[in-house]
Amino acid sequence: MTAFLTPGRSRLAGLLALVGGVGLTLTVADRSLPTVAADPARSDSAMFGGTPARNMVNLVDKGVPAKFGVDDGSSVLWKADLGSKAYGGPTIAGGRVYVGTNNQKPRNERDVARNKEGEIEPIDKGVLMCFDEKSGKFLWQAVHAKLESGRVNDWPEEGVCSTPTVDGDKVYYVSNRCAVVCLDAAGLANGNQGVQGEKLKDDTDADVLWEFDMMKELRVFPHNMSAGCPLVVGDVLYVITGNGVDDGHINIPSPEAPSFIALDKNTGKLLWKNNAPGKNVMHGQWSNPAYAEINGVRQIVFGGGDGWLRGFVPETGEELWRFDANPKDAVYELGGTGTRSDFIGTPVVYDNKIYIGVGQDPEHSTGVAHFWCVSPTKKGDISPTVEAGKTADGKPAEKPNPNACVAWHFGGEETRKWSQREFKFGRTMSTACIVDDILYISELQGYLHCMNAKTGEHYWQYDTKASIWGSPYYADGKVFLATDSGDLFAFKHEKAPKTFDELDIQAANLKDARLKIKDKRKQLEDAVLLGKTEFDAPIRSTPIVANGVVYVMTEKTLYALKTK
Amino acid sequence: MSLHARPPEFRMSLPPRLAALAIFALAVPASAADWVHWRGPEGTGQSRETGLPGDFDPAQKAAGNVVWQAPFGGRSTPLVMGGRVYILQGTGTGLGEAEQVVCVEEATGKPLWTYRVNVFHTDIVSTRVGWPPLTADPATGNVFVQTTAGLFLCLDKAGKVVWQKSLTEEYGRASGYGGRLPAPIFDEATGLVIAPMVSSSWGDFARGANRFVAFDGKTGEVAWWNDTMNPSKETYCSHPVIAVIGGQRLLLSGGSDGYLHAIKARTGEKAWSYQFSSGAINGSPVVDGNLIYCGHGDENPEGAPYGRIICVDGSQVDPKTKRPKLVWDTHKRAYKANKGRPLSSRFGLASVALADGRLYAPDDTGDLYAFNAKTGEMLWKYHYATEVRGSPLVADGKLYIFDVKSKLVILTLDGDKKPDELNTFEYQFREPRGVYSETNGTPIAVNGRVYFVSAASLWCLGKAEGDASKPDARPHRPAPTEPAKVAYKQSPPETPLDPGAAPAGVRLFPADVVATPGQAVKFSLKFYDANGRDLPTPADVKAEWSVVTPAKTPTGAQPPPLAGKLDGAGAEGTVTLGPLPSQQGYVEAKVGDKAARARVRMAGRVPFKQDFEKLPAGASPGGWVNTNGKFVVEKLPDGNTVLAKTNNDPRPPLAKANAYITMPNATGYTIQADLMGTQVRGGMPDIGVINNRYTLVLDGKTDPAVNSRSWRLVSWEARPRVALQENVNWAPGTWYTAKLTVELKATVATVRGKIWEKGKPEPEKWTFEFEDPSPNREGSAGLYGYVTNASATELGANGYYDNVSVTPNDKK
Repeated sequence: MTAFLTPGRSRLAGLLALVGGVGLTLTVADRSLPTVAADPARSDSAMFGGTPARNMVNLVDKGVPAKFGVDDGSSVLWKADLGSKAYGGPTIAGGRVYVGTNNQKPRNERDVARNKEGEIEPIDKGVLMCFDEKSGKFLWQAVHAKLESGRVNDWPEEGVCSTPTVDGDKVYYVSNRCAVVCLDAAGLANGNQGVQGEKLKDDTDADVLWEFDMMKELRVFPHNMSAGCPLVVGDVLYVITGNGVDDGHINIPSPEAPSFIALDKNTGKLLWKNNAPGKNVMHGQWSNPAYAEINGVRQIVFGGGDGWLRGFVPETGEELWRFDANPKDAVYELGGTGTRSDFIGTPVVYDNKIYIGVGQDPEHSTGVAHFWCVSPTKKGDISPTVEAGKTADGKPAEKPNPNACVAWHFGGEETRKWSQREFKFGRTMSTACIVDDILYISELQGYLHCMNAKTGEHYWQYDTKASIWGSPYYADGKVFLATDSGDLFAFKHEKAPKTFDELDIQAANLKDARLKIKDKRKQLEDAVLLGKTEFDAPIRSTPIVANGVVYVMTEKTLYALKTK
Repeated sequence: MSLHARPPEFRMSLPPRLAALAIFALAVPASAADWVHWRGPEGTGQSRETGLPGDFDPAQKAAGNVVWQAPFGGRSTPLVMGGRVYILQGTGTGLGEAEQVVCVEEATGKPLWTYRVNVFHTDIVSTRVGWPPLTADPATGNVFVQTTAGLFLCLDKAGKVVWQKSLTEEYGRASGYGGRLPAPIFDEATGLVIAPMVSSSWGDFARGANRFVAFDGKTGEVAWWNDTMNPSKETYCSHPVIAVIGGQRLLLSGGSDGYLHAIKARTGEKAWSYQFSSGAINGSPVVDGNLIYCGHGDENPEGAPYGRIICVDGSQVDPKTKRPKLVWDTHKRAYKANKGRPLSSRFGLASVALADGRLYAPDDTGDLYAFNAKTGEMLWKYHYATEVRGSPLVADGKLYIFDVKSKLVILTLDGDKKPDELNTFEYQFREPRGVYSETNGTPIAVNGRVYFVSAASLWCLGKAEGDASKPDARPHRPAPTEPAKVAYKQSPPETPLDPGAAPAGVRLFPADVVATPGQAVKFSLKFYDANGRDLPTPADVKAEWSVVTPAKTPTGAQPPPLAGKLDGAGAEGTVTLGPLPSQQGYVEAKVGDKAARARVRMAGRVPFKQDFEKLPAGASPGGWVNTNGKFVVEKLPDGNTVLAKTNNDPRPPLAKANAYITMPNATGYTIQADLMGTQVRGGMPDIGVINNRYTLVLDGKTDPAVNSRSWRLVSWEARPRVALQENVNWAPGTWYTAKLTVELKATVATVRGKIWEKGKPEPEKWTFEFEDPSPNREGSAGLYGYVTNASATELGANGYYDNVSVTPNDKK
């Protein structure tokens, strides 16, 4: 939360510190949870986005190189085998590293079975693994059976997709079984606390403190996968439930089940619930809550499966404001064709504003999308427009909303001649990274955009030519971004970036245009690309820097890489 | 695989050069070759055409190498036969949204006919319809297609139905929702058209599994079934190929169970299976001699990491393990390019292509791998896309492939060397805003032309003549003799038939029939050799015919044998079924130690009545499809015997099901049934009745916005094409009567449904009365049930059905 570092905003830091009951030093406020007993010498990444503001930045670590020796091992401090897919984490906190993955590389011989052909086959499970931060030694794991209903609620082999949140000596995440789980960070090594009835009690099994089964307790019907990353503020844990459609993709079996909940972090007791999207959930819900204090108003910001962003009073769940992130005439179409999207990325809080782009399930591919900077200073519906009857062709018409709280918007149609696609901004699964008022956001189709966070001015877009599931991440003057092709890019961060517009060309024909665009891209690459490191598997996570170490999680391996 | 380089009438009798002359003499259009298997005459994704365009620009029309463009887009692969191009595609909007087979003239793209069908009883959504390729019989000119709804159509040259099946309503085909459906394949040698599917129907086929059914191409009679016996991991789209390996004619296909299957094409018997994935196989195998190549993108049985390409030798099957010899496996081989590690990637959705000793394998995220096909050595990797579902076409030194994101890429191949990016042509399709814009198809090349579909168009590319930069450049038209020069490798011959050989087995034809009471159904006992070829039937054959008692069901119920009369002694048997409302069973013929079975079903007929009182608890009504294991007869505490939706398994195909009572050609009827739901842990079931592919539902969920449950009338609910709703807080534990009737008119149908509390007077007014301008004109009567809140340890809500009646509309 860079806001903490800006003079005059220390009130928020102080307040958060009070909420958590611990003191924070200004320099590490950005890297620490309000409730973590912070060690000023450390730069832990204890949750998705590092802080409750979810801004993908690290302002502490220095000496981070742009390129790493992975094949020759020169940069590798340690590496750990994960399953075949790893989408949760990494979270680095309290001397441990946590990763959500599957059981394709079983760590316990109990979790295998002989198949019909007589071969040993790993049993599909959701796994949260814990490693020692220094050595990479495997410490313990939480192993979850798959849901009996199968892929409709718990997609095969996707593992635990939630990025865990570490708060003191506790680890919080959402399992593949749609349960919020609280574990003892020390595992069973310090004895069995909390829940005593764990079925799995080998030395390397997890110590469950409490578990809140959202399907059982709230009748939540998660679509395909539960991936919520908990937000802990004070004694309260906030998470999105993932309620969604069934395998027919139209019917929401539990429209009355909540989408957003608050639990007592110590007991797992339900404090409040809200089902605002209700039957308007289009597909599933995979965004995460962020914590903000906007002009003194403390709030939890949730992106819902109906494509609306909402702010809630942290204690009560009372709605403060709501914001429609799609034009009124946008329609959601099954299978990906449509123009209305929901959120896969997480809202970022920066300088009293909320930043988020819309997206969809990657299976839906890309499509027209929008990136928003919302300044939620009013109550009620703060969307840019409101519905105003129907147009002549029966589509919803819209008119400006007098209550609108939009700072700026990027996206919509691209009509310029040589553009390779019809829109400026495609669907994103990424969360923004903002530093020095410069914003970086990637999209599924492989573009990284660099914009001005205050004005929305677009500086450049870089095509990585591969799908992106993770987020851009800032550290030490560089922006890191990893792709489905297993490439880790490092871009140069500048406080005053130059503008490169690849469509600002005069071309005689398509071939000429292609050459000129290529040339523009080369100029951009020369100016901003600092390095590229190739890994041997797709990367569908965000590279993280913590305590002087760079963590890159491919789908099957976690690498701890040296800085200096 | 067979040669379709010339029109069928000449293929057998004339040598190629003469055939070519004949074509010329008869002024048959130049487009003389056929492309009836989606991967071409060799089934490998290779076209041996030359002089194909390496780029195109529709703005320049013919000079830009675009011969024609027709407004029929989609995601399937075109089929070319007899001077015509065929595709399957989604069409229409709103209530008129449907799917159609399109036939256009090969030379001009001029539409000749379309055959339009509705979409129903599927979770597949509109942008995913029309994905599986078609197949065809060049001898008759008939095309075969599986539609999204599961209609299996045999259409003649004029677009008229020769025969059809409803795989969903007759055989319990499951479609899933992703649109990935396996394509049928026509086998010229046997005259059979084989339809793969994931199904769950009745008896021993009630278990959900990947199965293959072979229909006689001319009549639709069932020649054989193959049951892979393994549970399906999910729906899948590995399209089969046919090849002769070791003298034996085999159908080869990846399965929904993670296996590569080799099935004897003439009998449906398993030749061998090879598991190489923990998930379903979506890629199709390609065959070169005895070698079979296939990839997948899911987890591997032995653990991380996911995905692999394998090459097995189908002529070397281990007699002990019954598995073919593994020649190479990217997962078990060291790769120099990968620092001595094995290679794995998501080879999930696209199929491999084989050409000139190289295997081309696209992964899901846009890397194209080239391997030495013999050794498995990786030659190069080329990044061309970000998302991939279509397969490569290799032709004329080029490789044509789609990026899902509206892009066709044409690579210039350079042997074992990585293609030069500078020689790559890319074309970005731009569809109007809001129009589906993905490109998921696979290009083909035949008669000097390249054909493919983008989201909105069917394209024909051909090299322009003369100076392409001049506006008067014309599309290249191949000389009439040219197709004859295009020589494709032929599959080796089968082992010659020895008429005196000892029979290897016996089978009954037809293998699966639906009969009515009193109808005499004839079965022929056929003897076959080790390769499945029919042997002469011994004149004095003594066969023991019987209606066998089926095995007990998993619930312990003992299904009765067929009730009726069976006459049979020699090679012919006749069964005449008794007058039950519906029933199912098997006819068996034994000759010595060999036995053959046929499946016999008597579907419910209009008029139909069932109050379940005569059925034992734990059973399910015989003769119904997709009912065993999903619906079960239960005696309630009040002594009433009813049918219950099972509520002990949350997996979607079990939690949600249609029970089909009549054959799909039933129409002009009214269905009525008593329905009751209970509330368990706050949840209630969805229960309903089905008429002509419309479903009237008592919906058990509560909409918090209006705090009410509802009644609904739906058809193609996943779209939804028809979705009417009334908010009604129908009560748990109360019986309701639901009545649904469809009145067909010339072009429209009026669908009427009403629901009232049982025992109260039937209300005059219909709850729903709706005119469908694009009606479902027939369809099985059935029951619908959906229980969402079962778990491993807890039963879900109950849904009950009683007093089901199906009556003709004219006898109301």
